[in-house]
Amino acid sequence: MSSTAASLLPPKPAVSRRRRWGWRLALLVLVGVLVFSWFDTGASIPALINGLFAKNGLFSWAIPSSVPPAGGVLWQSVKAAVTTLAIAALSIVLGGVLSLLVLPLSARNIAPGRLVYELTRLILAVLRSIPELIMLLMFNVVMGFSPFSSVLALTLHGLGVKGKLFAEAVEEMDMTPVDALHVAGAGRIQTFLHAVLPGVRSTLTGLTLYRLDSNFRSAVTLGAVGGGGIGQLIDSSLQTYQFKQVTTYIIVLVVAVMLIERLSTILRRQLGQR
Amino acid sequence: MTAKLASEQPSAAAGSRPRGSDAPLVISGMRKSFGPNEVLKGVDLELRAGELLTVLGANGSGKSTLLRCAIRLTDPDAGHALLQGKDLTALSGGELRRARREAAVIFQRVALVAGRSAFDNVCHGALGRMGLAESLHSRTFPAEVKELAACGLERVGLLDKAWQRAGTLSGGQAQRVAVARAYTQRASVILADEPVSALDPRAAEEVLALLADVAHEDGLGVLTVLHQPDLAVRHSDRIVGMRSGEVAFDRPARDTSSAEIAALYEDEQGDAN
Ligand SMILES: Nc1ncnc2c1ncn2[C@@H]1O[C@H](COP(=O)(O)OP(=O)(O)OP(=O)(O)O)[C@@H](O)[C@H]1O
Ligand SMILES: [Mg+2]
Repeated sequence: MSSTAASLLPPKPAVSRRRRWGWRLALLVLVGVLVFSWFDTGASIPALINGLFAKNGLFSWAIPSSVPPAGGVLWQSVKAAVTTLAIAALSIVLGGVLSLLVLPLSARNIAPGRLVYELTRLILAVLRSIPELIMLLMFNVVMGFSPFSSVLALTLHGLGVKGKLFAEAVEEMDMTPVDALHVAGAGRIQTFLHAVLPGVRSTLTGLTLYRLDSNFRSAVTLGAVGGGGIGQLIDSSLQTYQFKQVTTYIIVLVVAVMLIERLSTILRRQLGQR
Repeated sequence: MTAKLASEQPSAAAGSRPRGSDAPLVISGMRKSFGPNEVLKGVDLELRAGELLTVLGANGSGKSTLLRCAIRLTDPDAGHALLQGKDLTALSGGELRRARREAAVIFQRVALVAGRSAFDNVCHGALGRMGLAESLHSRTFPAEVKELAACGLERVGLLDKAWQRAGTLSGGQAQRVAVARAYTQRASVILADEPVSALDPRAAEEVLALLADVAHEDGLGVLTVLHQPDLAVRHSDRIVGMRSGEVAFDRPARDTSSAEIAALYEDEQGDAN
Protein backbone atom coordinates (compact mmCIF):
# COMPACT_ATOMS: atom_id res chain seq x y z
CA MET A 1 0.00 0.00 0.00
CA SER A 2 1.30 3.36 -0.94
CA SER A 3 0.01 5.10 2.17
CA THR A 4 2.49 3.23 4.35
CA ALA A 5 5.46 4.69 2.50
CA ALA A 6 3.92 8.15 2.54
CA SER A 7 3.34 7.89 6.27
CA LEU A 8 7.06 7.34 6.74
CA LEU A 9 7.83 10.74 5.31
CA PRO A 10 9.01 13.26 7.85
CA PRO A 11 6.44 16.03 8.44
CA LYS A 12 6.48 18.60 5.70
CA PRO A 13 8.06 21.81 6.93
CA ALA A 14 5.41 24.50 7.43
CA VAL A 15 5.53 27.53 5.19
CA SER A 16 6.73 30.31 7.40
CA ARG A 17 4.42 33.25 8.14
CA ARG A 18 6.94 35.63 6.70
CA ARG A 19 6.93 33.77 3.44
CA ARG A 20 3.14 33.61 3.25
CA TRP A 21 2.80 37.33 3.84
CA GLY A 22 5.56 37.94 1.35
CA TRP A 23 3.53 36.21 -1.33
CA ARG A 24 0.38 38.16 -0.49
CA LEU A 25 2.28 41.41 -0.64
CA ALA A 26 3.80 40.51 -3.99
CA LEU A 27 0.32 39.72 -5.37
CA LEU A 28 -0.99 43.07 -4.11
CA VAL A 29 1.86 44.94 -5.74
CA LEU A 30 1.28 43.09 -9.03
CA VAL A 31 -2.41 44.03 -9.07
CA GLY A 32 -1.49 47.63 -8.28
CA VAL A 33 0.98 47.75 -11.15
CA LEU A 34 -1.61 46.33 -13.56
CA VAL A 35 -4.30 48.84 -12.54
CA PHE A 36 -1.87 51.72 -12.84
CA SER A 37 -0.66 50.55 -16.25
CA TRP A 38 -4.23 50.17 -17.53
CA PHE A 39 -5.10 53.79 -16.79
CA ASP A 40 -1.66 55.19 -17.57
CA THR A 41 -1.72 53.81 -21.11
CA GLY A 42 -5.27 55.06 -21.71
CA ALA A 43 -6.54 51.54 -22.19
CA SER A 44 -10.28 51.47 -22.76
CA ILE A 45 -12.74 48.83 -23.94
CA PRO A 46 -14.94 51.30 -25.88
CA ALA A 47 -11.92 52.53 -27.83
CA LEU A 48 -11.07 48.97 -28.71
CA ILE A 49 -14.63 48.19 -29.87
CA ASN A 50 -14.69 51.41 -31.84
CA GLY A 51 -11.36 50.64 -33.52
CA LEU A 52 -12.58 47.21 -34.54
CA PHE A 53 -16.19 47.79 -35.60
CA ALA A 54 -16.76 51.47 -36.44
CA LYS A 55 -17.40 52.60 -40.02
CA ASN A 56 -13.72 53.47 -40.51
CA GLY A 57 -12.52 50.67 -38.23
CA LEU A 58 -10.60 47.49 -38.87
CA PHE A 59 -13.40 45.24 -40.12
CA SER A 60 -15.52 47.57 -42.20
CA TRP A 61 -12.74 49.61 -43.75
CA ALA A 62 -9.11 48.54 -43.27
CA ILE A 63 -9.44 44.82 -43.99
CA PRO A 64 -11.80 45.06 -46.99
CA SER A 65 -9.60 47.66 -48.63
CA SER A 66 -6.48 45.52 -48.04
CA VAL A 67 -7.52 42.69 -50.37
CA PRO A 68 -6.51 41.53 -52.85
CA PRO A 69 -2.81 42.24 -52.32
CA ALA A 70 -1.32 44.54 -54.93
CA GLY A 71 0.75 42.37 -57.27
CA GLY A 72 2.44 45.35 -58.88
CA VAL A 73 4.69 46.04 -55.92
CA LEU A 74 5.84 42.42 -55.50
CA TRP A 75 9.24 42.86 -57.12
CA GLN A 76 9.81 46.13 -55.31
CA SER A 77 8.94 44.54 -51.99
CA VAL A 78 11.25 41.58 -52.53
CA LYS A 79 14.06 44.00 -53.32
CA ALA A 80 13.29 45.96 -50.17
CA ALA A 81 13.22 42.76 -48.12
CA VAL A 82 16.66 41.92 -49.46
CA THR A 83 17.89 45.35 -48.38
CA THR A 84 16.46 44.73 -44.92
CA LEU A 85 18.17 41.35 -44.82
CA ALA A 86 21.42 43.01 -45.88
CA ILE A 87 21.04 45.50 -43.01
CA ALA A 88 20.45 42.63 -40.59
CA ALA A 89 23.32 40.51 -41.89
CA LEU A 90 25.85 43.31 -41.98
CA SER A 91 24.98 44.56 -38.52
CA ILE A 92 25.04 41.11 -37.01
CA VAL A 93 28.47 40.36 -38.43
CA LEU A 94 29.87 43.74 -37.41
CA GLY A 95 28.29 43.46 -33.96
CA GLY A 96 29.63 39.92 -33.61
CA VAL A 97 33.16 40.96 -34.53
CA LEU A 98 33.07 43.88 -32.11
CA SER A 99 31.71 41.62 -29.37
CA LEU A 100 34.58 39.21 -29.99
CA LEU A 101 37.05 42.06 -29.78
CA VAL A 102 35.80 43.23 -26.39
CA LEU A 103 35.37 39.68 -25.09
CA PRO A 104 38.85 39.48 -23.48
CA LEU A 105 37.89 42.53 -21.44
CA SER A 106 34.24 41.84 -20.77
CA ALA A 107 34.37 38.35 -19.25
CA ARG A 108 35.19 38.50 -15.57
CA ASN A 109 37.28 35.35 -15.51
CA ILE A 110 39.69 36.42 -18.23
CA ALA A 111 39.64 40.20 -17.96
CA PRO A 112 43.00 41.76 -17.09
CA GLY A 113 41.52 43.54 -14.10
CA ARG A 114 38.40 44.23 -12.16
CA LEU A 115 38.25 47.87 -13.26
CA VAL A 116 38.59 47.08 -16.96
CA TYR A 117 35.89 44.47 -16.63
CA GLU A 118 33.45 46.75 -14.83
CA LEU A 119 34.06 49.57 -17.28
CA THR A 120 33.57 47.37 -20.34
CA ARG A 121 30.40 45.89 -18.97
CA LEU A 122 29.11 49.35 -18.14
CA ILE A 123 29.66 50.49 -21.71
CA LEU A 124 27.91 47.38 -23.00
CA ALA A 125 25.01 48.00 -20.64
CA VAL A 126 24.64 51.56 -21.88
CA LEU A 127 24.66 50.43 -25.53
CA ARG A 128 22.11 47.78 -24.69
CA SER A 129 19.75 50.10 -22.90
CA ILE A 130 19.50 52.66 -25.71
CA PRO A 131 16.81 51.18 -27.99
CA GLU A 132 17.79 50.59 -31.59
CA LEU A 133 15.14 53.06 -32.70
CA ILE A 134 16.59 55.90 -30.65
CA MET A 135 20.07 55.07 -31.92
CA LEU A 136 18.80 55.22 -35.48
CA LEU A 137 17.22 58.61 -34.86
CA MET A 138 20.55 59.86 -33.53
CA PHE A 139 22.47 58.48 -36.50
CA ASN A 140 19.89 59.94 -38.85
CA VAL A 141 20.70 63.35 -37.42
CA VAL A 142 24.43 63.08 -38.04
CA MET A 143 24.52 60.85 -41.13
CA GLY A 144 21.28 61.48 -42.89
CA PHE A 145 18.56 58.92 -43.64
CA SER A 146 20.00 55.76 -45.16
CA PRO A 147 20.05 52.02 -44.60
CA PHE A 148 23.61 52.44 -43.37
CA SER A 149 22.31 54.40 -40.37
CA SER A 150 20.20 51.34 -39.58
CA VAL A 151 23.28 49.15 -39.85
CA LEU A 152 25.15 51.31 -37.36
CA ALA A 153 22.26 51.46 -34.92
CA LEU A 154 21.75 47.69 -35.03
CA THR A 155 25.48 47.04 -34.76
CA LEU A 156 25.90 49.12 -31.63
CA HIS A 157 22.79 47.83 -29.95
CA GLY A 158 23.79 44.30 -30.97
CA LEU A 159 27.21 44.86 -29.46
CA GLY A 160 25.52 45.67 -26.18
CA VAL A 161 23.40 42.53 -26.32
CA LYS A 162 25.84 40.06 -27.83
CA GLY A 163 28.74 41.49 -25.86
CA LYS A 164 26.95 40.53 -22.67
CA LEU A 165 25.80 37.13 -23.91
CA PHE A 166 29.30 36.29 -25.18
CA ALA A 167 30.88 37.37 -21.91
CA GLU A 168 28.44 35.23 -19.94
CA ALA A 169 29.24 32.25 -22.12
CA VAL A 170 32.92 32.66 -21.29
CA GLU A 171 32.18 33.16 -17.61
CA GLU A 172 30.28 29.88 -17.53
CA MET A 173 32.88 27.86 -19.40
CA ASP A 174 35.09 25.26 -17.81
CA MET A 175 38.32 27.07 -17.01
CA THR A 176 40.51 24.01 -16.57
CA PRO A 177 41.96 24.08 -20.10
CA VAL A 178 42.53 27.81 -19.76
CA ASP A 179 44.35 27.38 -16.45
CA ALA A 180 46.42 24.59 -17.96
CA LEU A 181 47.67 26.78 -20.80
CA HIS A 182 48.27 29.62 -18.42
CA VAL A 183 50.48 27.47 -16.29
CA ALA A 184 52.24 26.21 -19.38
CA GLY A 185 53.37 29.79 -19.85
CA ALA A 186 50.95 30.90 -22.55
CA GLY A 187 50.12 34.59 -22.62
CA ARG A 188 46.72 36.22 -22.38
CA ILE A 189 46.13 36.43 -26.12
CA GLN A 190 47.42 32.91 -26.69
CA THR A 191 45.13 31.40 -24.07
CA PHE A 192 42.27 33.40 -25.48
CA LEU A 193 42.87 32.11 -29.00
CA HIS A 194 43.65 28.52 -28.18
CA ALA A 195 41.58 27.71 -25.11
CA VAL A 196 38.84 30.29 -24.55
CA LEU A 197 37.60 30.71 -28.13
CA PRO A 198 37.53 27.00 -29.02
CA GLY A 199 35.71 26.39 -25.75
CA VAL A 200 32.86 28.78 -26.50
CA ARG A 201 32.89 28.80 -30.29
CA SER A 202 29.74 26.80 -30.82
CA THR A 203 27.89 28.72 -28.11
CA LEU A 204 28.83 32.01 -29.71
CA THR A 205 27.87 31.03 -33.25
CA GLY A 206 24.60 29.70 -31.87
CA LEU A 207 23.89 32.98 -30.10
CA THR A 208 24.75 34.98 -33.20
CA LEU A 209 22.61 32.96 -35.57
CA TYR A 210 19.83 32.88 -33.05
CA ARG A 211 19.69 36.63 -33.23
CA LEU A 212 19.55 36.73 -37.02
CA ASP A 213 15.77 36.71 -37.24
CA SER A 214 15.31 39.09 -34.32
CA ASN A 215 17.80 41.40 -36.01
CA PHE A 216 15.80 41.17 -39.23
CA ARG A 217 12.60 42.15 -37.44
CA SER A 218 14.41 45.05 -35.80
CA ALA A 219 15.68 46.16 -39.19
CA VAL A 220 12.08 46.18 -40.43
CA THR A 221 11.04 48.38 -37.53
CA LEU A 222 13.92 50.77 -38.12
CA GLY A 223 12.84 51.01 -41.76
CA ALA A 224 9.56 52.52 -40.63
CA VAL A 225 11.39 55.53 -39.19
CA GLY A 226 13.50 56.12 -42.27
CA GLY A 227 15.97 53.30 -42.02
CA GLY A 228 15.26 51.93 -45.49
CA GLY A 229 14.19 48.49 -46.63
CA ILE A 230 10.75 46.94 -46.43
CA GLY A 231 9.83 48.74 -43.22
CA GLN A 232 10.08 52.06 -45.00
CA LEU A 233 7.81 50.85 -47.83
CA ILE A 234 5.20 49.70 -45.35
CA ASP A 235 5.33 53.03 -43.57
CA SER A 236 4.93 55.13 -46.68
CA SER A 237 2.09 53.03 -48.07
CA LEU A 238 0.26 53.25 -44.75
CA GLN A 239 0.63 57.02 -44.75
CA THR A 240 -1.24 57.15 -48.05
CA TYR A 241 -3.77 54.41 -47.17
CA GLN A 242 -2.43 52.07 -49.88
CA PHE A 243 -3.59 49.04 -47.90
CA LYS A 244 -3.40 46.59 -50.80
CA GLN A 245 0.30 47.32 -51.18
CA VAL A 246 0.76 46.94 -47.44
CA THR A 247 -0.76 43.47 -47.69
CA THR A 248 1.82 42.47 -50.28
CA TYR A 249 4.64 43.86 -48.17
CA ILE A 250 3.46 42.02 -45.10
CA ILE A 251 3.12 38.73 -46.95
CA VAL A 252 6.67 39.11 -48.26
CA LEU A 253 7.82 40.08 -44.78
CA VAL A 254 6.25 37.05 -43.12
CA VAL A 255 7.67 34.70 -45.73
CA ALA A 256 11.10 36.28 -45.31
CA VAL A 257 11.04 35.94 -41.51
CA MET A 258 9.99 32.32 -41.76
CA LEU A 259 12.73 31.56 -44.27
CA ILE A 260 15.32 33.24 -42.07
CA GLU A 261 14.17 31.31 -39.02
CA ARG A 262 14.53 28.09 -40.98
CA LEU A 263 17.91 29.12 -42.27
CA SER A 264 19.27 29.98 -38.85
CA THR A 265 17.98 26.69 -37.43
CA ILE A 266 19.62 24.72 -40.23
CA LEU A 267 22.89 26.61 -39.86
CA ARG A 268 22.92 26.14 -36.12
CA ARG A 269 22.32 22.43 -36.50
CA GLN A 270 25.10 22.13 -39.07
CA LEU A 271 27.54 24.00 -36.89
CA GLY A 272 26.42 22.13 -33.79
CA GLN A 273 27.41 18.85 -35.39
CA ARG A 274 30.92 19.99 -36.02
CA MET B 1 63.85 15.15 -22.68
CA THR B 2 67.23 16.58 -21.94
CA ALA B 3 67.18 19.75 -24.01
CA LYS B 4 66.36 22.55 -21.64
CA LEU B 5 65.24 26.01 -22.39
CA ALA B 6 67.87 28.71 -22.65
CA SER B 7 65.95 31.26 -20.61
CA GLU B 8 67.16 29.60 -17.43
CA GLN B 9 69.58 30.65 -14.76
CA PRO B 10 71.03 34.10 -14.39
CA SER B 11 69.33 36.22 -11.73
CA ALA B 12 69.42 34.61 -8.30
CA ALA B 13 65.82 35.50 -7.50
CA ALA B 14 65.81 38.23 -4.92
CA GLY B 15 64.13 37.64 -1.60
CA SER B 16 64.20 33.89 -1.97
CA ARG B 17 65.28 31.58 0.77
CA PRO B 18 67.11 28.85 -1.07
CA ARG B 19 67.63 25.81 1.08
CA GLY B 20 70.76 24.78 -0.67
CA SER B 21 68.93 22.14 -2.63
CA ASP B 22 69.11 21.36 -6.31
CA ALA B 23 65.64 19.81 -6.32
CA PRO B 24 63.54 21.27 -9.13
CA LEU B 25 60.70 22.16 -6.77
CA VAL B 26 61.18 23.20 -3.18
CA ILE B 27 58.19 24.34 -1.18
CA SER B 28 58.87 25.86 2.20
CA GLY B 29 56.70 27.32 4.94
CA MET B 30 53.66 27.44 2.68
CA ARG B 31 50.63 28.96 4.41
CA LYS B 32 47.20 29.74 3.08
CA SER B 33 43.89 30.60 4.70
CA PHE B 34 40.51 31.16 3.14
CA GLY B 35 38.85 33.49 5.59
CA PRO B 36 38.96 31.80 8.99
CA ASN B 37 39.73 28.45 7.38
CA GLU B 38 43.44 27.77 7.76
CA VAL B 39 44.06 25.39 4.90
CA LEU B 40 47.86 25.22 4.79
CA LYS B 41 49.71 25.57 8.06
CA GLY B 42 53.29 25.85 6.94
CA VAL B 43 54.05 23.04 4.52
CA ASP B 44 57.59 22.03 3.54
CA LEU B 45 58.06 19.72 0.62
CA GLU B 46 60.82 18.92 -1.78
CA LEU B 47 60.34 17.31 -5.15
CA ARG B 48 63.52 15.79 -6.56
CA ALA B 49 64.39 15.14 -10.17
CA GLY B 50 63.67 11.61 -11.30
CA GLU B 51 61.20 10.77 -8.58
CA LEU B 52 57.48 10.21 -8.45
CA LEU B 53 56.19 11.76 -5.26
CA THR B 54 52.62 11.19 -4.18
CA VAL B 55 50.65 13.32 -1.75
CA LEU B 56 47.92 11.47 0.12
CA GLY B 57 45.33 13.02 2.39
CA ALA B 58 41.63 13.23 3.16
CA ASN B 59 39.23 15.53 1.32
CA GLY B 60 39.89 19.08 2.34
CA SER B 61 43.33 18.43 3.80
CA GLY B 62 44.74 21.06 1.47
CA LYS B 63 46.40 19.01 -1.26
CA SER B 64 44.97 20.94 -4.19
CA THR B 65 45.56 24.23 -2.45
CA LEU B 66 49.19 23.29 -1.90
CA LEU B 67 49.58 22.45 -5.55
CA ARG B 68 47.89 25.61 -6.71
CA CYS B 69 49.96 27.73 -4.33
CA ALA B 70 53.15 26.07 -5.52
CA ILE B 71 52.63 27.44 -9.03
CA ARG B 72 50.79 30.59 -8.01
CA LEU B 73 47.44 29.65 -9.49
CA THR B 74 46.47 30.70 -5.99
CA ASP B 75 48.54 33.23 -4.08
CA PRO B 76 49.82 31.84 -0.78
CA ASP B 77 49.75 33.96 2.38
CA ALA B 78 53.31 33.05 3.25
CA GLY B 79 56.04 30.68 2.22
CA HIS B 80 58.14 30.10 -0.85
CA ALA B 81 58.05 27.89 -3.89
CA LEU B 82 61.39 27.52 -5.63
CA LEU B 83 60.96 26.16 -9.12
CA GLN B 84 64.34 25.43 -10.66
CA GLY B 85 65.82 27.85 -8.20
CA LYS B 86 63.44 30.69 -8.90
CA ASP B 87 61.09 31.82 -6.19
CA LEU B 88 57.68 31.97 -7.83
CA THR B 89 56.24 33.78 -4.84
CA ALA B 90 58.58 36.69 -5.51
CA LEU B 91 57.87 37.01 -9.22
CA SER B 92 55.05 38.55 -11.18
CA GLY B 93 53.95 39.28 -14.71
CA GLY B 94 56.17 38.09 -17.52
CA GLU B 95 58.88 36.86 -15.17
CA LEU B 96 56.39 34.64 -13.36
CA ARG B 97 55.11 33.35 -16.65
CA ARG B 98 58.58 32.43 -17.86
CA ALA B 99 59.59 30.80 -14.59
CA ARG B 100 56.35 28.84 -14.40
CA ARG B 101 56.97 27.15 -17.73
CA GLU B 102 59.22 24.72 -15.87
CA ALA B 103 56.11 23.15 -14.38
CA ALA B 104 53.39 21.32 -16.25
CA VAL B 105 50.08 20.74 -14.56
CA ILE B 106 47.69 17.86 -15.03
CA PHE B 107 44.26 18.20 -13.49
CA GLN B 108 41.66 15.71 -12.43
CA ARG B 109 39.17 17.12 -14.89
CA VAL B 110 40.68 16.77 -18.28
CA ALA B 111 42.34 20.05 -19.11
CA LEU B 112 42.52 19.69 -22.86
CA VAL B 113 40.79 21.99 -25.29
CA ALA B 114 38.00 19.69 -26.39
CA GLY B 115 37.42 21.16 -29.83
CA ARG B 116 41.02 20.81 -30.97
CA SER B 117 42.96 17.75 -32.06
CA ALA B 118 45.17 15.80 -29.67
CA PHE B 119 48.13 17.02 -31.68
CA ASP B 120 47.17 20.70 -31.37
CA ASN B 121 46.72 20.23 -27.65
CA VAL B 122 50.20 18.79 -27.37
CA CYS B 123 51.56 21.75 -29.35
CA HIS B 124 49.91 24.11 -26.87
CA GLY B 125 52.60 23.19 -24.38
CA ALA B 126 55.02 25.33 -26.37
CA LEU B 127 52.80 28.42 -26.57
CA GLY B 128 54.82 30.10 -23.84
CA ARG B 129 57.95 29.91 -25.99
CA MET B 130 56.33 31.04 -29.22
CA GLY B 131 56.12 34.57 -30.45
CA LEU B 132 52.68 36.03 -30.82
CA ALA B 133 52.70 35.88 -34.63
CA GLU B 134 53.57 32.21 -34.87
CA SER B 135 51.10 31.31 -32.15
CA LEU B 136 48.08 32.87 -33.82
CA HIS B 137 46.86 29.65 -35.38
CA SER B 138 47.83 26.02 -35.12
CA ARG B 139 48.85 26.16 -38.78
CA THR B 140 51.51 28.74 -37.98
CA PHE B 141 53.09 26.77 -35.15
CA PRO B 142 56.84 26.36 -35.86
CA ALA B 143 58.09 23.09 -37.27
CA GLU B 144 60.27 22.56 -34.21
CA VAL B 145 57.17 22.53 -32.02
CA LYS B 146 55.32 20.13 -34.30
CA GLU B 147 58.29 17.79 -34.26
CA LEU B 148 58.43 17.93 -30.49
CA ALA B 149 54.69 17.34 -30.25
CA ALA B 150 54.94 14.27 -32.45
CA CYS B 151 57.73 12.95 -30.21
CA GLY B 152 55.56 13.57 -27.16
CA LEU B 153 52.61 11.71 -28.64
CA GLU B 154 54.89 8.85 -29.55
CA ARG B 155 56.27 8.84 -26.02
CA VAL B 156 52.80 8.34 -24.56
CA GLY B 157 51.85 5.84 -27.26
CA LEU B 158 49.15 7.90 -28.92
CA LEU B 159 50.64 8.77 -32.28
CA ASP B 160 47.68 7.16 -33.99
CA LYS B 161 45.23 9.43 -32.19
CA ALA B 162 47.00 12.62 -33.24
CA TRP B 163 44.13 13.98 -35.34
CA GLN B 164 41.31 12.91 -33.10
CA ARG B 165 39.52 15.75 -31.36
CA ALA B 166 40.52 15.86 -27.71
CA GLY B 167 36.90 15.87 -26.60
CA THR B 168 36.41 12.42 -28.08
CA LEU B 169 39.40 10.77 -26.39
CA SER B 170 38.85 8.42 -23.48
CA GLY B 171 39.78 9.73 -20.04
CA GLY B 172 43.00 7.74 -19.93
CA GLN B 173 44.04 8.82 -23.41
CA ALA B 174 43.31 12.44 -22.54
CA GLN B 175 45.55 12.31 -19.48
CA ARG B 176 48.29 10.76 -21.57
CA VAL B 177 47.93 13.60 -24.05
CA ALA B 178 48.31 15.98 -21.11
CA VAL B 179 51.59 14.22 -20.26
CA ALA B 180 52.70 14.64 -23.86
CA ARG B 181 51.90 18.33 -23.58
CA ALA B 182 54.28 18.52 -20.62
CA TYR B 183 56.98 17.27 -22.99
CA THR B 184 56.33 19.97 -25.53
CA GLN B 185 56.44 22.42 -22.68
CA ARG B 186 59.90 21.06 -21.81
CA ALA B 187 58.83 21.12 -18.22
CA SER B 188 61.16 19.77 -15.58
CA VAL B 189 58.34 19.21 -13.14
CA ILE B 190 54.88 17.70 -13.57
CA LEU B 191 52.24 18.43 -10.96
CA ALA B 192 49.20 16.21 -11.24
CA ASP B 193 46.15 16.75 -9.07
CA GLU B 194 44.18 13.51 -8.95
CA PRO B 195 45.09 12.61 -12.52
CA VAL B 196 43.42 9.21 -12.33
CA SER B 197 40.32 9.88 -10.23
CA ALA B 198 38.08 9.83 -13.27
CA LEU B 199 39.69 6.76 -14.82
CA ASP B 200 38.87 3.09 -14.67
CA PRO B 201 41.38 0.90 -12.81
CA ARG B 202 43.25 -0.17 -15.91
CA ALA B 203 43.61 3.30 -17.36
CA ALA B 204 44.64 4.53 -13.90
CA GLU B 205 47.43 1.94 -13.79
CA GLU B 206 48.54 2.94 -17.26
CA VAL B 207 48.66 6.65 -16.53
CA LEU B 208 50.51 6.17 -13.25
CA ALA B 209 52.97 3.80 -14.86
CA LEU B 210 53.54 6.41 -17.53
CA LEU B 211 54.10 9.13 -14.93
CA ALA B 212 56.56 6.91 -13.05
CA ASP B 213 58.29 6.22 -16.34
CA VAL B 214 58.53 9.88 -17.13
CA ALA B 215 60.15 10.47 -13.76
CA HIS B 216 62.56 7.56 -13.90
CA GLU B 217 63.56 7.64 -17.54
CA ASP B 218 63.29 11.29 -18.46
CA GLY B 219 64.41 12.60 -15.11
CA LEU B 220 61.45 14.87 -14.43
CA GLY B 221 60.18 15.49 -10.95
CA VAL B 222 56.60 14.25 -10.84
CA LEU B 223 54.23 15.09 -8.01
CA THR B 224 50.81 13.49 -7.94
CA VAL B 225 47.89 13.83 -5.60
CA LEU B 226 46.02 10.56 -5.30
CA HIS B 227 43.09 9.13 -3.42
CA GLN B 228 44.16 5.52 -3.98
CA PRO B 229 46.77 4.49 -1.38
CA ASP B 230 47.42 1.17 -3.10
CA LEU B 231 48.27 2.85 -6.40
CA ALA B 232 50.42 5.33 -4.54
CA VAL B 233 52.40 2.67 -2.72
CA ARG B 234 52.89 0.63 -5.86
CA HIS B 235 54.00 3.37 -8.22
CA SER B 236 55.57 6.17 -6.22
CA ASP B 237 59.05 6.52 -4.86
CA ARG B 238 58.03 8.69 -1.97
CA ILE B 239 54.78 9.42 -0.17
CA VAL B 240 53.83 12.55 1.69
CA GLY B 241 50.84 12.28 3.98
CA MET B 242 48.86 15.46 4.56
CA ARG B 243 46.48 16.01 7.40
CA SER B 244 44.61 19.28 8.02
CA GLY B 245 47.09 21.41 6.17
CA GLU B 246 50.22 19.87 7.66
CA VAL B 247 52.64 17.21 6.53
CA ALA B 248 51.97 14.17 8.70
CA PHE B 249 54.75 12.06 7.23
CA ASP B 250 57.18 12.12 4.35
CA ARG B 251 59.05 8.93 3.59
CA PRO B 252 59.94 6.44 0.85
CA ALA B 253 56.90 4.55 -0.37
CA ARG B 254 58.23 1.19 0.72
CA ASP B 255 58.70 2.42 4.29
CA THR B 256 55.15 3.64 4.76
CA SER B 257 52.85 1.58 6.90
CA SER B 258 49.23 1.05 6.04
CA ALA B 259 48.38 2.17 9.57
CA GLU B 260 49.83 5.62 9.11
CA ILE B 261 48.13 5.93 5.75
CA ALA B 262 44.82 4.89 7.26
CA ALA B 263 45.32 7.46 10.00
CA LEU B 264 45.26 10.21 7.37
CA TYR B 265 41.64 9.47 6.63
CA GLU B 266 40.43 9.23 10.21
CA ASP B 267 38.00 11.87 11.23
CA GLU B 268 39.88 14.25 13.43
CA GLN B 269 37.52 17.01 14.45
CA GLY B 270 34.45 15.39 12.94
CA ASP B 271 34.75 17.96 10.21
CA ALA B 272 34.76 16.42 6.79
CA ASN B 273 34.93 19.73 5.00
N1 LIG C 1 38.96 29.21 -3.50
C1 LIG C 1 38.63 28.80 -2.25
N2 LIG C 1 37.88 29.59 -1.46
C2 LIG C 1 37.55 29.19 -0.21
N3 LIG C 1 37.90 28.02 0.32
C3 LIG C 1 38.65 27.19 -0.41
C4 LIG C 1 39.04 27.52 -1.74
N4 LIG C 1 39.78 26.51 -2.24
C5 LIG C 1 39.83 25.58 -1.27
N5 LIG C 1 39.16 25.98 -0.17
C6 LIG C 1 39.02 25.23 1.07
O1 LIG C 1 40.29 24.78 1.43
C7 LIG C 1 40.20 23.49 2.02
C8 LIG C 1 41.16 22.57 1.34
O2 LIG C 1 40.76 22.41 0.00
P1 LIG C 1 41.60 21.57 -1.03
O3 LIG C 1 40.88 21.63 -2.31
O4 LIG C 1 43.00 22.04 -1.00
O5 LIG C 1 41.55 20.13 -0.42
P2 LIG C 1 42.02 18.78 -1.05
O6 LIG C 1 42.95 18.17 -0.10
O7 LIG C 1 42.49 18.98 -2.42
O8 LIG C 1 40.68 17.98 -1.05
P3 LIG C 1 40.11 16.94 -2.12
O9 LIG C 1 40.70 15.64 -1.76
O10 LIG C 1 38.65 16.96 -1.87
O11 LIG C 1 40.48 17.42 -3.47
C9 LIG C 1 38.77 23.08 1.93
O12 LIG C 1 38.17 23.27 3.19
C10 LIG C 1 38.17 24.02 0.92
O13 LIG C 1 36.84 24.28 1.24
MG1 LIG D 1 41.79 18.45 -4.38
